[in-house]
Amino acid sequence: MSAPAILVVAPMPAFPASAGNRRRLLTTCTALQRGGFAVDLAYYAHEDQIYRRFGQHPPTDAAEAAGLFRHTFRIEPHATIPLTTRARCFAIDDWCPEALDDFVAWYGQAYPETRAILMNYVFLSRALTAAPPGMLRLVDTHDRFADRQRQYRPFRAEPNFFYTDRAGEAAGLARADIALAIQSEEAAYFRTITDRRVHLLPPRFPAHRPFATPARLARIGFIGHGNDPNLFSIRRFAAAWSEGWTPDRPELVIAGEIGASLGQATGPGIRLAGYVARLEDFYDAVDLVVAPMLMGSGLKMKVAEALSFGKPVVGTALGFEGFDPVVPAHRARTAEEVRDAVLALVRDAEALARLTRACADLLAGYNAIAEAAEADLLATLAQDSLGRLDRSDSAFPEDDGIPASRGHRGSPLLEGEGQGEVRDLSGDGPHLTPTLSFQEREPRGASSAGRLPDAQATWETVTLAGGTLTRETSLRSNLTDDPERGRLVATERGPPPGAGPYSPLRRRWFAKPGFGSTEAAPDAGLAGLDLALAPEWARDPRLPTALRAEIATQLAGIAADWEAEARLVGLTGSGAILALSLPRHLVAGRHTNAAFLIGAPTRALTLERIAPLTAAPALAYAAQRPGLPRAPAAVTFAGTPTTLAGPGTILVLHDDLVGRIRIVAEAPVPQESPP
Amino acid sequence: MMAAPDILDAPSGRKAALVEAALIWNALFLNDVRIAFRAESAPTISVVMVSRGARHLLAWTLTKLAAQQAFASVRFEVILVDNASDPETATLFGRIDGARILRNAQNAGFGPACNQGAAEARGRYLLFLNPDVDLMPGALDALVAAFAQADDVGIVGARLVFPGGILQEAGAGFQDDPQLTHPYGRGGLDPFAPEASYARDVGYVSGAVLMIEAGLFAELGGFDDRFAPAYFEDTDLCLRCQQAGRRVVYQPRAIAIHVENATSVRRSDVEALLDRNRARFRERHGTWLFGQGPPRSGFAPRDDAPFALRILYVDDRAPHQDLGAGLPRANTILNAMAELGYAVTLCSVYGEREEPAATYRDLSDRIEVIEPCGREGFRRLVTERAGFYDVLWVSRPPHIRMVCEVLRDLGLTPRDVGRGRVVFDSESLFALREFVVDALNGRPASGPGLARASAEEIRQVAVADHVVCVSEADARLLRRAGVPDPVVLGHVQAPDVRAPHADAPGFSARRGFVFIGSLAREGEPNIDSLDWFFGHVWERLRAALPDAHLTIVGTVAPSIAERLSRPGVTVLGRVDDPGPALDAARVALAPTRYAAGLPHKVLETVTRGLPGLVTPILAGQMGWPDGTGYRIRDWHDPEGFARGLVDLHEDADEWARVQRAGLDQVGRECDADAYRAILRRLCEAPVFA
Repeated sequence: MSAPAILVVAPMPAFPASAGNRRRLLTTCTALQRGGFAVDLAYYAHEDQIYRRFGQHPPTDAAEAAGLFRHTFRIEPHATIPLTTRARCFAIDDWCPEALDDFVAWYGQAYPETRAILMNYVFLSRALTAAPPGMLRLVDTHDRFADRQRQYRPFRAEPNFFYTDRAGEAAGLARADIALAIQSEEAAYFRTITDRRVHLLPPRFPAHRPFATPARLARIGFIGHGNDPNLFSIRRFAAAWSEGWTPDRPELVIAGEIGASLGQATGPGIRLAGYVARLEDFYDAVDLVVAPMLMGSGLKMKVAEALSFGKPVVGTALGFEGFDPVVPAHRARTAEEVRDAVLALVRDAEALARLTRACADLLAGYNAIAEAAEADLLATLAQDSLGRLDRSDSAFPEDDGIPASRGHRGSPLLEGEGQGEVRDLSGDGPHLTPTLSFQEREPRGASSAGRLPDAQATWETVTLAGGTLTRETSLRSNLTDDPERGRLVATERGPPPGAGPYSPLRRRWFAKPGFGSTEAAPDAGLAGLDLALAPEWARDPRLPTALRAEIATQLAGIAADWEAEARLVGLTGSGAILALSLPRHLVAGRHTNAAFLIGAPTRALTLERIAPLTAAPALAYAAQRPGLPRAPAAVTFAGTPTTLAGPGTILVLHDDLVGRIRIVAEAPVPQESPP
Repeated sequence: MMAAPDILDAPSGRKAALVEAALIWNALFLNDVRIAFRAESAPTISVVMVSRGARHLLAWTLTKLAAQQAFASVRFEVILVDNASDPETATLFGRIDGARILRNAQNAGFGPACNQGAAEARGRYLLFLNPDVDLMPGALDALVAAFAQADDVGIVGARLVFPGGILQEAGAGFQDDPQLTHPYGRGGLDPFAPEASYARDVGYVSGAVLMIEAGLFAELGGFDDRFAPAYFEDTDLCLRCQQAGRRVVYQPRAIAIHVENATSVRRSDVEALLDRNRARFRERHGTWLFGQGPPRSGFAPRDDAPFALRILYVDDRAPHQDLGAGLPRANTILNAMAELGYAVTLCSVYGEREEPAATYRDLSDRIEVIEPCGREGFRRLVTERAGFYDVLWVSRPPHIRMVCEVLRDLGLTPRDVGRGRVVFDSESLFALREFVVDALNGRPASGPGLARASAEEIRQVAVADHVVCVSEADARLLRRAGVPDPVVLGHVQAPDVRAPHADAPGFSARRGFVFIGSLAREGEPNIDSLDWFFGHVWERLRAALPDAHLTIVGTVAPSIAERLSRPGVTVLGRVDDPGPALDAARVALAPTRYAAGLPHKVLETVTRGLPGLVTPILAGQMGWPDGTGYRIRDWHDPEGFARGLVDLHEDADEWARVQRAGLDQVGRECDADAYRAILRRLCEAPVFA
C-alpha cells in the first residue's frame, strides 16, 4: 500500500527557509513525512506578489521544494492582495482568493486518494470548504489574528499584516476539523472561540550548545530582523538600557538587520553589531540574551533559538508566551523590568546560575511537550488515514497535545526523528509583511540544480543587436542572474503550454549583453504573454541601455494591466507632454518606473512630471484589474524625439504592473456622440 | 427645526449656578432634609468624589447625584473623600446617608485622594466626578455603554457644558505647542454643536467626569502622585491608558454641567501648578506624543484615531429610515460606514437643524452631522479641514454639481478633498425621471433629449474614481452613456435591522391591501400613483371584491389625506412601526408610473413577507423577475392591474409562491458581508498607494 497523502497549502514557499513562518511550514511538512505521509505542497504565491510589488525578486525556490515533496503546485494570485485596510479590521476571507478554492476543488478531483488537507493560516481557511467530503481538514494557525491590531496602539503605529476580529477568526477555525496552535496560550485562546479540536503543535528546538552559567555579564545581546514587534520592543529597551548606564554595567549588543532600522538613535551602553553571518558567532560573543518583547504573537523564535544555544535569557511574559515560564526573569511586564532583572544578575553569581538552570529546565520541558505533541498529531493523522478516526472518540482528550503518558516513542511513525531540524533560526514573526524585513540570503544555487538536473530545463536563445535573449523553462525560480544566460528580465505568470494548470514550472527570460547580430531582431514571441517583470526594469537596472531598449521592443505587445489613449498637448525642449488618464496612484505619488517609447529604435523615456487635470480628456482608459481607477493628468516624458507626433506606443513599467499608452493621432475637436 | 439654544454668558451662568447651590444648601438645612443614596450591594459604578470646601456647590452636586438614582438603570455607590474641608462644609457630611465618606485631616491632593477612594470601590467602573458637576439624565448609562461597544475602551469622558449653556469641553487632544493640551469646543456658543455631538477617540478627557475600568485603573497604579496636589494627573492617566493599548473615548450622550474652579484658590497658584505639571507631563510623554506615528497637526488631532478612514459625505440632509427619496438608503450606507470603523462627516446641504435627539434616532452616534451646512458650509469645511479627508462621497447630481463648482472656485479638484477616493453616487438618474414626467404630461420627450440630459449628468460624474447607482437599470443607462464601471449599491437594508421576516403571517391570517410611501408633497411620484390608482383601478377592484380595503401608510399632507379618503380606505399616516399594518394586509400595491431611484417600499414589503403588485418601472429598478416577492402589471392596462390585484389576493398557492421567492431573494441580497465588501472596495485607499 502506498503512503497516505496529505496536501499542504501555504501562502509562503518552503524554500529558502529564511523566515520563521517558512521554517514552521518546513518543520511541519518534514514531520508529516517522518510520520509516513506523502506530502504534496501547494504554494499560493502571496509572498511572491508582495515582493514584486515592492520591486524585488521573490526569494522562492521551486526546485528545492520539488525535490522534497511528492508533488508541488503553484497558484498565482491574479488580483491585487489588499495589504492594508482602513476598516476596523480585515474580514476573515479578505486574503483568500477564489483561485485557491478552485485549486482545492481541482486537486480533490485529481488526487481523490489524498486523506487530509493542511491549510497554513486561518485567513486562507475558506478554501478548505472546497475540499471533497471525507478529507480531514486542518488549519495551522501560526498566529492569533483576532484583535492583533490593538498591539500597535501603544506605539501609535499603523497595524500591519493580517488582523481580524474574534468572530472572523472563529468562523475561519470552524472550517477545519483540527486547528494547530503554535504555542500553549494561543491554543487556550482558540479553545475559547471554537469547538473544533485544537491541537498544540509547538516547533521543536534541539540543543546546539549545552547550557553553561556565564562567568560574568559583560555583554548582553539581542538579534533580530527589523519587523515591527522587534523594532518597537528593542527601541523601548534600548532607551531604558541607556538611561543611567555606567561603564561597569554590561554592554547591549544589537545584531541582525534590525540595526539598520534603528539607525543612529542609540545611546550609551549600546553597540550595533550589524548582520552576523553565523548565529554561533553572535551567541558565543554574548553572555546573556534579552527578549524584551512588548508586541507580537505566535511563538518567539528568538527566545527558543537563544535557549538552544545554551544562553540564559531574560525577557517579558509576552516574549516567553508559549514556553510556560515560571521564574520572574521570564515574566517581566515592561522594558524597565527586563533591565532591572538583568542588572540584578550583574553582581549575583548565584542568581545567574539559578537563572541558567531555570532556562535549561524550560527548554527541556518545552521540547518534551513539543515532541509529544508531534507524535500525538501524527498518530491522529495515521489513524484517520486508515479510516479509523472517530471524531467523537474520547481518545482525543480536550487538553490534547501534552499527553506525557501517552508515549508514542518507539512508534515507527517517529523514525528519522530530528530530520526536521533546521539550521538557520534567525528571525520570527509574520513575514508576509510589506516591509520585507528579512535578510536576503545567497540562494542555495547548487541545491536547485542538484534537485532538478539541468536536463529537465530547456533553453532557447535569440540573438539581438546588443546581446542575447534566452528563454528558459525550468523550476529555477530563485535566481536573478545566471552566469551563462545573463540577467533575468521576465517570468511568465502562468505555466508553459503543456504543463498542468498548477505546475510550478515557468518560462523565464534572461538577457546577456554582448556582440549581437546586425540583422533585424527576430521576434522573440512575447506578444500577448502575461509576464512578471524582473527588478531589472524599474528598481535595479544593470543591463546596457541599448539592450534594455531592444528588449522593451519585444515587450511592447505583452498583456498590460492598464491601457490608456493619450493626446500630445505640448513639446518641451527635451520631451513631450501628453494628456491622458492614468492609474490614480501614479498621479497621487511617486512610483519607481521605467518607460519606453516603442519604435525603431525604441527609446528609454524619463517620466518627469505628472500634473493632475480637473476634467477627464475624452480618451479611452481601461484597467484589467480592480484597484486601478483612473485619474486625468498631464504627463511630461523626457527623451522623446523633438518631432514626436502620434501615433505611437509608450510602455510604462511600475509596481509589478504593465501600462501601455497609445498616443493617438492629432484629431479634430471631438464631436458629440450621435444621440 | 431647532434654533441654537439661547445661552447665558459664562459669568452669568456661573452666578445662576452658585445661587441655585446656595438655595439648595439652605433648603437642606432649613427643612432639615438629608441626602440619601440608595445602598447598593453590587454596584456597577463607584462614583469617587473629592471635596475641599465649597460647601454650596458640594451640596448642589450631591443633591443632583442622588436624583440620578431615579434615572440610572446602572447601579452606583458613592465614595466621598474629603481633603480637610472647612468646618462649615463638614457640617454637610452629617446629612448624607448611603455614601462612604473618607475624611483626610490634611489636604492629600486630588490624585492621591482619588486613589484613596478608588481603593474602597467595589464597582466594575470608577467614575471620578468633580464636586461641582450636574449629570444630565442617562449620563451614567451612556458612559457605561461606551465600554460595551468595544472591549478595548479604557476611559470614557463626557460632554461638559458651563452653567448657562456655553460648551466647555468635548474631549481634548494634544498639539506640539507651548499650551500642549487643547480641549475641543471650549467656549462654543452651542452645546449641541455638531463637532460636540458625535462619539470618537480622543487624546484625553477631563478628570471632571472621567470613567475608567477599575481593573485598568489598578493595573496602571492609579493617578500618579508626582502631579499632586492637582492638574495633569487626569491627562497623564489617559496617556498611560493608551500606552497600555486601551482607547480613550468621548461620549457625547453623557452630558454634564460643570461649574469649574469651585474651590477658591489664587489664580497665580493655579498657573504655577499648571506650569510645573505641564513640564513634568511633557518630559514623561513628549516623545510618545510627538516623536512617533502620524503628526498631530492641523485639523487631525481632533479625532485621535489617525488610521481610521475619514469620509466626507455630501447629501440632502441627515438621512433617516422613515424618510423617502433615497434617504433610507443613505442611512444604511452611513451606518454601515460607521460600523466598519470609518470616521464619517455628513455635510447636509439642504437639511434644517434637528435636535440631536432626532438626528441620532437611527444614525450611528459616531457620525458627525453638520446640519445645516449648505454650499457655504461645504466651502468652509473643505477649507478649514484641508488634507483631512480620505474619501469624498457626494450623493445626487445637484450636489455633485455644487461640489464641483465650489472646488473649482477654490482652485481645487475633488481629488484634493478625497485624497484616497472620490465617489459620486448618482443616487438615481434625475434626468430619467424628468423625461418620464415630461412624457406623462404630454410634453415632447424625445429619446435624443434623454440622451442629452443624461450626458450632462454623466459629464460631471466622470471625474470620480467610482460612480455608484441604485439599480441595475441605472447601471445599464450609465454604461450606455460611457461610465465605465458603475457600481450598484442598492436597496439592501441595514442588514441587522431588517432580516427577512422569519415567521411572517400566512395567507389566511391577512386581508386587504396596503400602500406604503411618503405623501407629503403634491407632484411626487407616490401621489401621482395613487391618484391614477383611484382614477382607474379602485372601482374595478371594488367591483370584483366589494369588501376590498386599502390602508395607506406614510407621512401625508392633510389636504392629500382628505382627497384620498373614501369608503374602504384608511389613511393611517406616518407610524413609528409600519410592521403591524404590513402584517395585517395580504397584498401591497405600488402603482408607480414614474420614479427614479430606490423602490424602498417594494423592498420593505417583500422583506416583511408581504407580496405586492408593482409596475414594470419599479420591477426594472428592483431587477428581480416577475413572481419574486411581487407580480408585475403595466399601468397602461388598468383592467389588467385590477385583475392582478384580485388574483394575488384570492389565490393562496400563487400568493405563497410569490412570498417565498421574495423572502429567498431578500435573504440573498441582504448579505451584510457582501454589502460591506462593496463599500470597502469603493472607499478604501488604492492598494498600490
